[in-house]
Amino acid sequence: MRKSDACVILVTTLAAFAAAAAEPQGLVTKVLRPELSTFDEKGQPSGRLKASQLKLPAPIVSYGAGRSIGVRLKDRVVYLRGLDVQTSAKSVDCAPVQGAVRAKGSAYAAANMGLGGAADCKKAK
Amino acid sequence: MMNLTHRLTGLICVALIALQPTVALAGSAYAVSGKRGPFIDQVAARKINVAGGQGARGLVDDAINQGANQTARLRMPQTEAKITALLQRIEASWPYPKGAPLQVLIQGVDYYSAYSLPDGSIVVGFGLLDRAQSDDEVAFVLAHELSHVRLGHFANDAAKKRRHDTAGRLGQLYVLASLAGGARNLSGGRQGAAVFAGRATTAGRRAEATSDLLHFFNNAMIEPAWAQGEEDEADALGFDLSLKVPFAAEAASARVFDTIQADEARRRQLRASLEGRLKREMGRTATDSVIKSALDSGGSRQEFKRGLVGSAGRMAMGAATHSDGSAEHRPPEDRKRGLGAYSAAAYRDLALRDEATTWISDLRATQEFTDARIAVAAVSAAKTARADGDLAGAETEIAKADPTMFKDSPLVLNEAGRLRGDQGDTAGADVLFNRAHASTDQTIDGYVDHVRMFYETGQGLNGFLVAKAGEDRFGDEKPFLALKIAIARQAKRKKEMNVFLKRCMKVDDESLQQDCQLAAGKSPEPKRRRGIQVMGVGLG
Repeated sequence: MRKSDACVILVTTLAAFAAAAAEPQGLVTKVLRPELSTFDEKGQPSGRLKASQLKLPAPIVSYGAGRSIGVRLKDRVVYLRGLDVQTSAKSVDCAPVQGAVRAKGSAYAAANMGLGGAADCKKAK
Repeated sequence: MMNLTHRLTGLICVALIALQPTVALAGSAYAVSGKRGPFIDQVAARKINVAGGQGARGLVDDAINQGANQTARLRMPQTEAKITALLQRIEASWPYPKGAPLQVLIQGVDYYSAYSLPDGSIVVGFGLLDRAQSDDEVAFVLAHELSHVRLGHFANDAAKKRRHDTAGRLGQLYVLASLAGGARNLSGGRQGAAVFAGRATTAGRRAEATSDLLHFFNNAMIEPAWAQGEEDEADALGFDLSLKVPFAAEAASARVFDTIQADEARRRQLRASLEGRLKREMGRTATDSVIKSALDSGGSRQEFKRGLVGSAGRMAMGAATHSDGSAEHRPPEDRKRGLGAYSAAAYRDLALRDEATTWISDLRATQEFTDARIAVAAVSAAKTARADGDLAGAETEIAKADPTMFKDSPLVLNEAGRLRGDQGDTAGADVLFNRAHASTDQTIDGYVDHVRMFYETGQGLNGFLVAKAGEDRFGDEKPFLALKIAIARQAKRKKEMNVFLKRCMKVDDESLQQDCQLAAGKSPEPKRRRGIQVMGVGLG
């Protein structure tokens, strides 16, 4: 790999990490359709939004009704359906228990097969 | 310095460009358009074959595909009743002929998955119930499966692909068993035992345990191989049915696809890990001396070894086709995009609603559910420890299932039996396998592994008896054929061996044929090239 390629990867990765760290609720990373429905906080339809109007990655500022995803658009917050976007958001309801505190064997299973189950989660504070 | 600053600025610009917005373009066209309204109304004029077709009958009849006899059935009456009640609520919105009554089966695996069978069975992975975050999420998955059944998707030949794949894998058990069992068994006497002692035996055991884990991974939740259009229809109708109950179909479906995507990433990781391990252990085990003993005079060692490695490769390929290797399967992100477009057109100006957790909380509040969670984790961890060669660790893990109400389930007993067998306690393993056979939920795997243990310890007659009992019970000889050939060879009963081999070569399954040839000490004929069989994943 060339040095410049490595630098691009490094800078990109750092930028993504920095953005994610700054936005604890995650980011909208991809828009799945050219035009999206928008909603208010209570889940009522509020219009349409062209995908090009949204600068990505867009920080998620809040969640609305039906787990709709709130992003800032100029001076207001609009809510998008989860079906229309991809996000970097982790589950806000469950934080994984560290592998080190799992029983022997289950760490591998949890990491590789998703075999940890709900028992390996604790409620996020 | 200036030059460095200039270059860094350039690089940052490139990086920022890489982060600019992108609108992902859809792959092949989504099969359902919402412009003509909800799909549930669009199918009003469709002639639906609710009874299924030839493929459907094959799926139900074949022993290794019977819903009740899959790899990890866990009988949970309270949980099944609650899921059935939820299914009935969803089905109440289906306005057309219903066909077969529904029944729910639970698989003791932590897969976030479910699939349906043509007899109206909805098979639910315990992991779905354990990891779902809302009632609506489970409802959408069930509605999707119900849609496959009610739309008559079983009328196609998808089932056949599934049947062949499974039959082939069970034959592959022989190859690893033969390595684990050692040259003694293959050569029909004690002469070769020393050859296989020590490191090779340990590696053979690990290879075998890894193959068990791969099999569990591949076959615990075998889904019919739906076409993309059928998946799209099931997604759209599942959405409609969920919405009518009413559930929060939009929030739930988005989360389901996101979770499936994460699951697929985990499966890829597991596949790579197990594939590497299997190859390593096979390499350590398949020494020249073992192969010399295993091969009938006149055969090519190179060809034979290639056959063994090919068999290991097929197992890994099995993992690939079951997890994410399907070229035809639409990725979760594409399904999400397609359903997003469909629902936005079919339900314009629909308000979003919150998900509920009342039903799922109630489902998880029983002792039955708590015990199942312990038993499922215990079996999974024991399998993993066994594949690691940590038999004491596996013993500790499987013992965790003892205080639960599932201690006598085949899921637990078979794994305990395999472990005892690995530890050299054949009599103890025999007792455990027999207890599992006494259960109505015993799986064909339990029988195959029981036979394999007898073969490995040179107790061919006992192996034959168990194989016969398994064949009688499930009405299917295929899973036992390669082992029967090996046992006949071990007992130097060449005539019988050839009869079994002839029968095996008539089965329309090249993988199985090759394993039968290996079992007979012959270098397998090169496999004809053909496409990878396509299996469903996520929501069957």
